[in-house]
Amino acid sequence: MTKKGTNSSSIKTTGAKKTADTKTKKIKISGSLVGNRVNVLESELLEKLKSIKPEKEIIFDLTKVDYIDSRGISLCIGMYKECLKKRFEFSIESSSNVYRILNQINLTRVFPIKEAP
Amino acid sequence: MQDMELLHDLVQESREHLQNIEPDLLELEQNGESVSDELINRVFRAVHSIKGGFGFFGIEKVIQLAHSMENILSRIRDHELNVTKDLTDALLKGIDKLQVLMDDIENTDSIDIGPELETLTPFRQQTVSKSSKTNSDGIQKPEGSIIAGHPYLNPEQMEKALNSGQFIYNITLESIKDIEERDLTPQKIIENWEKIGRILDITVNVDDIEQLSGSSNKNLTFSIVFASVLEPDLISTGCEIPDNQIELFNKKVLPKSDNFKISDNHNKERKSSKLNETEKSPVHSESHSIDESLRVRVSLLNNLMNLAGELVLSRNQLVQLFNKKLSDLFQTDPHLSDFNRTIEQSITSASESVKLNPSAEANTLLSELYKIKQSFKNCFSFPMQEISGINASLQSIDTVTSLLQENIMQTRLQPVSVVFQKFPRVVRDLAHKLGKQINLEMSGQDVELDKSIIELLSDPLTHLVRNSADHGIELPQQRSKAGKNPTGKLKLSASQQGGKVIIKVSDDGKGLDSEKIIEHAVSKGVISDKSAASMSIHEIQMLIMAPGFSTAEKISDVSGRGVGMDVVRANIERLGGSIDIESDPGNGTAITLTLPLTLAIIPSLIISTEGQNFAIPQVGVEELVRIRSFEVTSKIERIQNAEVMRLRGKLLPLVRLSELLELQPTFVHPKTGERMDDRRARWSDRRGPDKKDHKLADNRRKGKENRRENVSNAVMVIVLKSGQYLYGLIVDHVLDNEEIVVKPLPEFLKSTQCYSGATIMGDGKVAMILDPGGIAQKADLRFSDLENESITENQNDLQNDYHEILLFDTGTQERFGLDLDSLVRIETAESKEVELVGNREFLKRDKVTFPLIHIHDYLPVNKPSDKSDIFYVLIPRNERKIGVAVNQVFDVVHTEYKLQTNEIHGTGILGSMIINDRLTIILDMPALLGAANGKAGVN
Repeated sequence: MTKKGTNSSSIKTTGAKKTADTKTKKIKISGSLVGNRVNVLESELLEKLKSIKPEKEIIFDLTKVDYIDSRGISLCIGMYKECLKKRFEFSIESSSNVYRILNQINLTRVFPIKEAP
Repeated sequence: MQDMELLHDLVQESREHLQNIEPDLLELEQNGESVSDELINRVFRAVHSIKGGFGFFGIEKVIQLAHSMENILSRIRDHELNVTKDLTDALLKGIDKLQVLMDDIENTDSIDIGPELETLTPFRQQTVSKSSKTNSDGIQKPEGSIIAGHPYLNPEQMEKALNSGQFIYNITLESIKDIEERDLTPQKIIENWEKIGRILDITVNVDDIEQLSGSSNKNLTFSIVFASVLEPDLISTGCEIPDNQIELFNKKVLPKSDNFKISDNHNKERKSSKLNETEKSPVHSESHSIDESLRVRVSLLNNLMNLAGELVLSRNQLVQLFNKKLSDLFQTDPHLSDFNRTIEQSITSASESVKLNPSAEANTLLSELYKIKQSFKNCFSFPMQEISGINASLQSIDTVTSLLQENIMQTRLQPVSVVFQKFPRVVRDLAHKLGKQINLEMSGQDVELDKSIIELLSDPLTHLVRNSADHGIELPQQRSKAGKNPTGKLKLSASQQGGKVIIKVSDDGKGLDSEKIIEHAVSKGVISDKSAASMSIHEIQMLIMAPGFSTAEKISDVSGRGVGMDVVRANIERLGGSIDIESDPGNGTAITLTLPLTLAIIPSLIISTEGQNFAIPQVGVEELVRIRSFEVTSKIERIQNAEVMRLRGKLLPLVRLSELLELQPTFVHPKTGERMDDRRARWSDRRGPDKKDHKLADNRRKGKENRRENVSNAVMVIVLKSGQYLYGLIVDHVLDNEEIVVKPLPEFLKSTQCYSGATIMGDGKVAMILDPGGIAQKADLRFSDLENESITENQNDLQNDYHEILLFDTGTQERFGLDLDSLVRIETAESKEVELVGNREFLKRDKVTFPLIHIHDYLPVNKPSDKSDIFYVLIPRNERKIGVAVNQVFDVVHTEYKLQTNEIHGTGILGSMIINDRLTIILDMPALLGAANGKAGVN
């Protein structure tokens, strides 16, 4: 499912993908995590999470996200809270731009965030 | 660009702080242990404001130095340190270095503040050691909400921030209100804040969001620990976050609550801090006075000043225009002159027709044409002023322009305290250095002077104060021996007297030693032995300001600096002021400076030479001397190939303005009124009464009046002051006294020496402002040679200053006087003898008809209401016969010629004198004839 974003770069959300480790699910987002786009992503992500069984590890893959605003940060925290409820392990893999801001606001103290090489 | 403007504003503001700190520190030192809370708080606040202000711009050197000083000041305030001389020295050095930093604020990196910090360190170390204990207690186990919400906060970082003079704030950010609604992102906010401080920690309140659903619309709270030098009342503005979301961490660093009563306008205009309810209230109590003053750029004031000057000139031109007659317009307007020419041509052809065919019809036609011509001329013969209502409007424009100019002038005035305030420090440092005890008393600091004068006054005044402290006031033991108080007194006072400001520097020291001055002056060749013998005490004392008196040998690091008193005098004179010395040996010296209030508009004497107008500042004019035509050869002599004039027994060197400025000699052609080149030699070069060819030449002129005795050939000498010496400037005419607007001299004319500026006259023409000092310099006048000559001259020459003055009136209350020498004779006449041709009057005597003029038609004097049947006619010495009608001639008096030129002046009026207890207007006959000649074509 592809949607056009509000800014110049295309935003593409992908469904949960199975990795080599079947316990780990990666949810990948690309484009910018800003403004109203976050609201759309929010409901899509909820749908994705519904289909994932408990005791899985969720990696929120933001390696293709180049920009994040306060709504995007709220979305990350919302994902974290949702995973907690569902007893998923939660972590983020991100681009260096996104890592910088998440690290600056010390979300690294709340859940693991890895900067993509 | 805007940042640079803000930075320069801050520099200006900080300079004012620094100027205020200095006297306060000196007062603190004087008070010793009894530290006044108000005083120390004031100093603290000023240093604190400087630190805070420059924190915005991240200028580290200023912040570091100001912080060190603030640290010490806070210890003084808490009575942990006593204000000693060493401590004051250290703080004053800090102030000096801050001043240096302000002077080159864009290059502070290259300025070394190490020595100042080192001097401050011993005092600061005491502070730091004790406070670090306090700090470590406070920070190691931090209390309060900030620390509770930031378990990862690094105490070392906090301590470092606090020790470098930063404040630590906890700032709460709301994601919707403070970020989204302002179109910002957290990243952008972090970037902005990093410019004005350092983020020590950020925590995000993840509990604000409970689940994914609706998470992006939830408000997320960020808690940020932020260190910055911005003081509490500025942090809100700096971070663009409301006060109620900011919490100050360590209240000990925060100034006491009374420190929030920021007294300067700058801080009043800024938003008050709402960090703490107990600390915020005092700010608002003074906020009502915010708008009472405003900072305005000097360049803008200068522009306003210039525009006001232009307006004054336009007003003058307008007044002059309205004083003219419409007939002037008639002469210049091409349509009117065409019409006039057509009438003239019609009259000519009609006259020719009459000659050829003298019929009654042709005669009637001719007389009708004459009537038309006359009526046409009559239409334009009244002054524009008589147009109804114009006078009132003109007066109103006149008054408003004057008021406007006066008010704009006032905006440039500054109190002398701006200059005075540095002297307590100067005197203190000097006294310490010289081992003297000096008590400085200052008064009249509120007296105001123009900014430009204030700026230029600083150096000469510093020199005088240093001189008094160095050479005037004796060492304590010498003073005790002389029975004086061991503490010397140095007084600095300012007062206003009319349009002048008097500044006096006086001391109760040893006074000037006349013998030593003479010895020195003679050895330096400033004066001769002979002239020294005849000098008064005052003249001897004034010698210390003579050029060449000061020598390089005298330079000391205290008062010397290679600048002599002659330079001080020259500087004061350049400001249009004068300097005087009074010294009582053994009891002290007083030096008085007399300065004008402003340099922008100055009263001037307007003179003309070879048809060009010049202005001479009144302050440089000593007196006006008119040498009558037949006295020229006897009064103007040549000594050592230079012209001199004898005035009350003294010889004055003479300078001919036209020759000095190399103006082409001209004369006004008596018939055409045209100014033409003159190839004649000057008067004093011509035959004297004792020369052989005198009679011969007179014979050649047989039948004509001797031009040498013509009243218009009198020589006008303006006696000018150059330092303590006088010299005469020969000009053609003295025209008027006028308040002129000084315009700066263009760059290419600055090297000419003779001019100090330019101005625009009422008629729109440019007139150069002459500089008496520059003229003397350019003419290479040597006054000392003349002193020797003058001693040998016969000094009893006073009778030359007595004139025969004819007293008369014109049928009004005004009484007039005229140098009898300017008249050939006086006649009586009856009104029936007067013939009218057009609007001109003629008198017929001995088969000769000559024009009759009335003084009120040409000079600014009252017009008589009635004409009497019998009147007097004054016949002046003039190439063409002319009569001046007056009402009554009273007397001829032999009186001393003491002309006052300030009160009554104008074209054709030399000035006024009190004769027989009555104010008498002394007329300038050549100027009157010139006016009559120019305006009505009397010749």
